[in-house]
Amino acid sequence: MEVLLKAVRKKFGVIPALDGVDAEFPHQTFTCIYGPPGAGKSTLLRIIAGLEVPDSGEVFVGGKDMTFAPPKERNVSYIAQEFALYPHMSVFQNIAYPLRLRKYPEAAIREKVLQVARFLKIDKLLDRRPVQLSGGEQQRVAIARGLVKESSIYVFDEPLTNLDYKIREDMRGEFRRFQREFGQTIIYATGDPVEALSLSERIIILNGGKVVESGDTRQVYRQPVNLFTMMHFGFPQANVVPGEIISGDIFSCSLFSVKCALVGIPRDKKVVCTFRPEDVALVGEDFRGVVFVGRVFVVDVIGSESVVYVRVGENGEIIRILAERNCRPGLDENVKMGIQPEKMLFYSSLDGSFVGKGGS
Amino acid sequence: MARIELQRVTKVFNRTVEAVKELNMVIDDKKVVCLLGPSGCGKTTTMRIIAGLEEPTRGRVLFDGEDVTPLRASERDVAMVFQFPTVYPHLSLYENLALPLCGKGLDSATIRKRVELVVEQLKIPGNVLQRKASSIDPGLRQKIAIGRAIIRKPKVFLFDEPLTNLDATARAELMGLIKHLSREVGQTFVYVTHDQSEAMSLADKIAVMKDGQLVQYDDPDIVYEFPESTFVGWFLGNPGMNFLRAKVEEEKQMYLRIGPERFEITLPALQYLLRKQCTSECVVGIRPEYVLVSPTRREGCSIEGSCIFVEFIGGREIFHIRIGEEIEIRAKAFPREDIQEGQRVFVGFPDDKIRIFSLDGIVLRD
Repeated sequence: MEVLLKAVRKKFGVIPALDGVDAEFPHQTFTCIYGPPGAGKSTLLRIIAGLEVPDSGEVFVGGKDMTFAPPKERNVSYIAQEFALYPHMSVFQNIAYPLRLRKYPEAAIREKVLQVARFLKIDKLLDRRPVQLSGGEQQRVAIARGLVKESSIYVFDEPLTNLDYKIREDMRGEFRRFQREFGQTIIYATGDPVEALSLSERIIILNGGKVVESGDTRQVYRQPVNLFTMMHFGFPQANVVPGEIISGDIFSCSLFSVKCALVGIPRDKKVVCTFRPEDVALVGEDFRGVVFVGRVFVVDVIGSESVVYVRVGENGEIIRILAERNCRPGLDENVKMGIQPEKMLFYSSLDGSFVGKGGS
Repeated sequence: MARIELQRVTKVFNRTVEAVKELNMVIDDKKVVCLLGPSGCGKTTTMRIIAGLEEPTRGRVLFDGEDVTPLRASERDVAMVFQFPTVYPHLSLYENLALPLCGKGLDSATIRKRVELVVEQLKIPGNVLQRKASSIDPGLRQKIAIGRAIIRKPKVFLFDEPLTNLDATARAELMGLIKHLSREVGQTFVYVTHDQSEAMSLADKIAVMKDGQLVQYDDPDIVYEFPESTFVGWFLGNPGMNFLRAKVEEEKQMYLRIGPERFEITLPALQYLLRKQCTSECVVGIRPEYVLVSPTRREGCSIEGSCIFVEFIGGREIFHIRIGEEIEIRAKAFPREDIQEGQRVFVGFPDDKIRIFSLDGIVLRD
């Protein structure tokens, strides 16, 4: 079942949480809502689940206007970030609770709980109490309780945020498996770019209660239509070099000049050149492309990769390079960096709108 | 200045739960050591024992050779930063920072100077210093907590997962700051985390803990490249090491059989190692970034599998590859067009990147 939001607004006091949101969550698709804290992600999810009523605008679920429908009429399962398990109940009873409320027969309850528990690999914990579980196990129980209801739409609010790094890594796989096996519509809020990239087919970038852009996740990552997305959606953060457009289609800054294919030039001609850390590399003499120099500031080994921070230009701005883990230039070493012009994206300094790509 | 030594430290809670077991560890002066492990591994308890907030059930804690086990936290000259930062909400940020210096007989000019230095070190914008601590965001609050620790100039800094409750942007900024501070301040740092990337980035030495025990303690590169156990291989890395059960078959060459596939291997020591263990079975460990993937069979890429899922994570892709019926491995590489979901692929493991473990997960070596 698909979900459609039209011009949804919601204020808490005088502060607008959602400021005219249009959004589409297609049938049987995994959509992430990505944004910084305070972007309005939770409010958006709660409106879809029916836990909040918008001040204005409409909410359609499966083609029907559900703006004012109570949660139980929506066939939406909502898993909150701050989950609360019933401490006096066993894991089994916690998971079974939503089915008991709906007066399922006992045999059916047993079967469904076991199925979901097996799926989330907590079937050996069913007799335990929540206090006897680790944080990750408790989170899985909360997710199981959400899944057991068999809705056609599942709404998750940052379910992995407070978990250990390694558990997050495992759970990412579990969410994908769930969606692939059961094929429901999933709406998932997160502030972690790697999680959003790894999980979702579609993405909605939210900031300050407004949709910045939306679309196919890889497409949005590769060519954002807005500078905000470029600078926030990705890890390590994208590089940005300010400059201006001269003589028609040449971008010029203190580091380099490059020809570009522009779709529109801002009036003041001030633009920023941006590129992803994985698209720039330390290069040798024979590199063909845009080349500039700098001095190594920090080398940060983060696991299977290193991030090399290089100071460039008069103001010592930082360029981030995502390199293999054995890439270890010395501190203060002078290095040459190279990038293909097609990997550069240009945005207006004025309003952050997309201006064009490098190359011709 | 402090060299910290833990001698056979054991901590038992409620007479039954052994949180830390017979821990021996030396933290050299002015080094940054990360205690890394999953929830419940005993890392926080170990740090609290170093701080003097927990008394060990057995064993001793030494600072520069001197037994400090009976000393309380306030007598040890250590400063701690917690996961949930403690700031006084009714005081201004300036007052919060200056507080540790009050009552020490310092004149106000000296205090002002020390606060200004810390403000500069932590890149706290000057215009927020008069604000009440109750009105600031979590990132700045953690900065103030760190500032309160460094302003005292203690011998030892202890950090307990200081970045866990911050959003990605604040986390990256503070990570850089802590790394910079650890070099600039030149004191002993002990840093507890569950996040392998924080440990890799920050530490001179990583202490990996599991079930209350120290399972490996070494330079980050050694721990990463030469894990002592499958646990360490899995816990470090994003994602962790792949493990495949394998059988050695000898003909003219030596082969490793993995499921239905087998491939030639030239690890001279392997034969000897397995013979010593009286087995022909072992576990092969290989990190995802070292797995070679090719759309066609070629030298060094001869194990057939199918790509069941391509996980896009931005700068890299993770190819989930199935070999035979049951084996699944991950390969990490630059995004590439020639490998698609559902496609037949060939993988290879470079000899020098293969690590061999016993069936119970302990590294085999001569």
